Amino acid sequence: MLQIFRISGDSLYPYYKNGQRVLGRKVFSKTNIKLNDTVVFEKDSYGLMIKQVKFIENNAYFVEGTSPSSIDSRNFGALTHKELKYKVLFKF
Amino acid sequence: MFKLKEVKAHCDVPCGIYDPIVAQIAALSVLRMIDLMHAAEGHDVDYHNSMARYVAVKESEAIKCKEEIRIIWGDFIKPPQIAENPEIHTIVHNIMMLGGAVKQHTSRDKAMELLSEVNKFTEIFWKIKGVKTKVAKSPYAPNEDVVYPVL
Repeated sequence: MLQIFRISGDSLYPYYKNGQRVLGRKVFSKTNIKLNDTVVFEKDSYGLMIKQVKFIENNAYFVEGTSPSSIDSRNFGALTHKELKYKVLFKF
Repeated sequence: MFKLKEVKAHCDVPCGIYDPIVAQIAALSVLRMIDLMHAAEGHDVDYHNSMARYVAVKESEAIKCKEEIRIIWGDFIKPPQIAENPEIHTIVHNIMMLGGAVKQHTSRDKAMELLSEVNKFTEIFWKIKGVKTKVAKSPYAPNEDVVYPVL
């Protein structure tokens, strides 16, 4: 249900920094995901990733980092709700 | 109770490497070229050769200064930092205008203004990074005040 993650990388700087920890709540089919929510998901070649939701249309969730060089939906396309594993509650 | 998992916030280039020192050196170079242009004497071939080189370097360093500032401003500075440093946009715009002015003219005052604005930008940059700064004379001509990080 709840999971702690340690962030590796700076693509969400300055909101989240390398090495910072966040608490995530598991995403279920009825979990409401809004714009600017930070979500954790898994992409085959990249592994477990964390990004922000920047655009939602139907069941397509477009996620981005804050860095122009971030690897995100600009590379691998939008995610489905089912692909979203955790919604970040807060950092600490 | 909880097992810590690593989650990637990766980029496709080594991001996070930003430093305004390149823009500062470029601004100093512009100033140095203007000093050399005003100090140049004679009207022979060597004079014209030197003057052409000064102008070319002044032009390219002014462009470099503007580009470096634009990159840090556009890629590194984010909305929360703009909220804390609302003057950043005006400083960047001043640098863009002064960067153009020093290409068009040979005014030392304009080049000093450019260096001053780049120093202001540098102070904000290191404040955001949580690094203290100091002001010291550049240890080479034109020996003007430069903001350096205290590391």
